[in-house]
Amino acid sequence: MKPILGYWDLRGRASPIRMLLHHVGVDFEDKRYRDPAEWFGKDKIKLAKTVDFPNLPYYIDDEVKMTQSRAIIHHLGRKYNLDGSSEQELVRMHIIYEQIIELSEALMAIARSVDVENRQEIHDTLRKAYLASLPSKLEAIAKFIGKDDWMGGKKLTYIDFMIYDVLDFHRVLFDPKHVNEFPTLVAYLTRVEGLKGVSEYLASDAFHSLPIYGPMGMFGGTKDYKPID
Amino acid sequence: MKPLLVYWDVRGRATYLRMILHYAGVDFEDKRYKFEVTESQKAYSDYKKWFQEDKIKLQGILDFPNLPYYMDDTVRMTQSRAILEHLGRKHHLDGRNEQELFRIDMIYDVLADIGFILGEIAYPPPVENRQEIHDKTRKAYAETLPAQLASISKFLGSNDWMAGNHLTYVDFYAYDILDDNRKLFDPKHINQFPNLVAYLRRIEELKGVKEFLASPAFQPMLIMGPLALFGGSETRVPTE
Repeated sequence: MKPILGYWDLRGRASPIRMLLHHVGVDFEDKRYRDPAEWFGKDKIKLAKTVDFPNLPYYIDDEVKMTQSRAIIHHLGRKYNLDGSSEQELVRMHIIYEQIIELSEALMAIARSVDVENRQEIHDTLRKAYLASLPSKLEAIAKFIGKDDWMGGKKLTYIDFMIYDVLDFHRVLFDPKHVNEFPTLVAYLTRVEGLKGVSEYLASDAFHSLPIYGPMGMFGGTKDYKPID
Repeated sequence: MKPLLVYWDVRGRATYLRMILHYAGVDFEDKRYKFEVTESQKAYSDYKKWFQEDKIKLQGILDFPNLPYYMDDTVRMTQSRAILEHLGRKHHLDGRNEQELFRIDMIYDVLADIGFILGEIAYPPPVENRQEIHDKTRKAYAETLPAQLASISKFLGSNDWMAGNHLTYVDFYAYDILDDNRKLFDPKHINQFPNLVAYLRRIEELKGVKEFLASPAFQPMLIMGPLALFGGSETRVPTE
């Protein structure tokens, strides 16, 4: 069977997986749910019969049926020889992954629409604080990459697709100048974008930099969102 | 050098690291920065020492100076889950085949999501109505908890361990997150699932872990820091 990756029609947690699959040249079905009823009313119920955590994204092929984005991309990393091999690489990969997750979680908190009247105030407060802290965080990441091509070191791994995505979110959600201050980061992002399979995908109609989050979010939830600080 | 684990003097993100090290029988230094809450419920004694001195001294030694950090003869690292995975590989507590590896990853993601949400509930945004936000998010989470635990229970099934037949590093993470839920919310939710209750007891009986959990070093109720809106004090607040 043709492998199938199912997710909402946004970047969210699926973009890195899509990029990896395009890079390794897998002919897969990039299924995107535009109608919540199709997921919640139909496919989720079906998936619950065979998977313990029926969720989006899901990935199904001849060997596995799985959910949880990191589990999926880690599995594909092992399958397609895009995992770290030495302890040193693995330690580096996991440290930077967790560091990026901190940024990703902070962005999600800023995007979240809290069920109170002053949700805009909350969004603005969190966004302002985050931007103030951003330069030193990006600087530390740029320093971490150093002279290496990839986050693990000399070899491209599945982690690079995840790091690419979160760093690129910063160029799309905020003024891109924050990221562009750091030539090392810009070079890294360009390097990922230049990967075989990835450059074609990013140039295609299938890829949109927005939306990142769902439409109920406080930012980044629509195609025409304009980055401001 | 004697392996060194450094964190605040609470459970937080260090419990599963302390547990795995005790289980593996490692003679390590469990260094803690203490909280000392003043009358105004604000600053802590070691807080300034960490942020204003020690964290700065670690630049150049750690790529992202933070707590917890772990150092031994071969690594110097931060990020609690990265440390946990490293110790899992080092002490032969990792998955042994593809099936175990992706089972570990799947439950790890579920646990990480829960951990993130609990942190959000405990530390709402710095606005005036943060107590209101806390109460709302806490209530919303408590309503989802039974279904969440049901799916974890189903995932564990009749296995002894999350990966299947073997204890792995993710079991220490699972213990911590499930126990956090038992302490922060009504334990009746977990008690609905005999396999989860048995699983937690199985981990509590592990040699090394048993002694640690019984010691004053564990501090069962101090899950979050003292500024958290729940989980930060020894007294359990019996609301949902």
